[in-house]
Amino acid sequence: MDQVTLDNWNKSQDPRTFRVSEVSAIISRLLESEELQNIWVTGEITNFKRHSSGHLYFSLSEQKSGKESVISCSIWKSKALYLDFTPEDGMEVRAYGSISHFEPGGRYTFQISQMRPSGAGEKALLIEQWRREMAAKGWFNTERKRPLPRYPAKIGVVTSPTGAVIHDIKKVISGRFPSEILLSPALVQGPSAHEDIASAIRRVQDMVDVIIVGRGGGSNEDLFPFNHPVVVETIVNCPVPVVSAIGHEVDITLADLASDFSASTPSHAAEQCVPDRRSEAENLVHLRRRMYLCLINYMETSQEELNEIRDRLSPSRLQREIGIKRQYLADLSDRLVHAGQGCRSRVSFLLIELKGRIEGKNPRYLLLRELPERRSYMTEIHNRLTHGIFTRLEKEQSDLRALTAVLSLHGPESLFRRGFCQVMSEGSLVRKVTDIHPGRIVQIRFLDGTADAEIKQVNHDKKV
Amino acid sequence: MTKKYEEMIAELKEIVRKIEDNETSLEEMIVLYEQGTLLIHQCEEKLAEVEVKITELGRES
Repeated sequence: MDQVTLDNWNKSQDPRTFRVSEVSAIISRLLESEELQNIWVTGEITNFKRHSSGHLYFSLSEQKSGKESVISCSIWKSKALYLDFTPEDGMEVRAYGSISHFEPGGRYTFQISQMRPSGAGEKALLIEQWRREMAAKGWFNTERKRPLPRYPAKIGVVTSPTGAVIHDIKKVISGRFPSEILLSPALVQGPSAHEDIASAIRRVQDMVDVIIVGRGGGSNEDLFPFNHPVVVETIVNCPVPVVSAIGHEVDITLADLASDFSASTPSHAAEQCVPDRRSEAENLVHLRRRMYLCLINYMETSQEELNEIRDRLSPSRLQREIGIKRQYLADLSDRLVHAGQGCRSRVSFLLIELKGRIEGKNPRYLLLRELPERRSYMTEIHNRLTHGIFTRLEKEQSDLRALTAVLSLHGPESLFRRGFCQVMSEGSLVRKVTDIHPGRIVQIRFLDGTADAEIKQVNHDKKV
Repeated sequence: MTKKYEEMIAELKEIVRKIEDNETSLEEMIVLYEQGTLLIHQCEEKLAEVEVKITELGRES
């Protein structure tokens, strides 16, 4: 149990003594192991400082089961330029870099080369997906874009009632044109901002001629509600044209793509919405001048016409005109008389000619001319007819006589003379004795008459 | 003076067109000129209104 004194402590311990540089080198080696190089770290930004040199210094911290862990970080100016957001205390971020040991200060630091807000990657992906869906629906098509009204009486402005946006718009419009502004207030950031913006547009859309949807500059996170389909669809379905002025000139949200005009700033939007009163006033002066010149010109022309007409109405000119008319009238009446005479002689000549033609067709002359000929023709026909008939008659008579002679020679008469009779029974000639039977009444023809007889008996020459 | 600036400008353009049309009679032209001058005056007055009117809608309206 020896009291440890300075002397024996010195002797009893390992005599190996490190130099500071050696320890520092070991720390460097340990800290700069592969495990701590090129890694992603998430955490909350604390103690954020922007150095006048442009370098950024801060800590990334995490509270876990009541215990706080902190690592100190830095971003060199050359890398800080490429950050697409402004880091602030309290922001959740994802950072990429390597641990390095700063030997002169005896400190280590997480040297960051890239950093983005947590969830930014997911949101960027979501926006890209929405963009594709909306493009497929044709919401961004150029032919959908409506022209802005030239002289809007009322302009709806959807923005924060307290921001610089409404102030800028008011300033520009009041300087240019007396349109009325209807401010439809909306929350422009926060979890329910998209619903609020959409309902603010719907509240004002039926009361105005054009709508400006505006928001000042901010991070991508701040502008996120303007990418939300609820807002974009409201803009697409808005009955009046919509001008968007969201974020800075470089920020393009989906609302900008769908709006009828995407302005770079709220002031730019206001300029697009109203004409400039100076150019309007010049236009009015121009219109007044056109009307005036036209009226003067017309009056001068009218005066000239009047002078010319007055000249033409002078008495000597009138006399001359009347003389010409009178001469013309005389010529006309001469022509009328000549024409009447010529016409009459033509008509009477025609009349004579017609009369001659009618006389030629008179049936009396026709008959007188043709009657003797026809009469002799008739006589000749008559003679030929008479002669023919007589000749024919004589021939028929001689034929008759000859036939009579033959007939009387061969006819029953000669038989009757010789004593034959003809027996008829019931209208038929009786040729055979079998044609009759006893009791039958028959007619017997003699030369000079007939007699009815009744058959008493029939005697056949041969037995039948 | 309740007419919108846009309506007045449209009316004014129509008046100028009629005046420049050769069919218009002198009497009509003089009447149109008087109307046109009045409209120009009204337009200029409207343009001279500097104070811009802002109405803020209620959130529940």
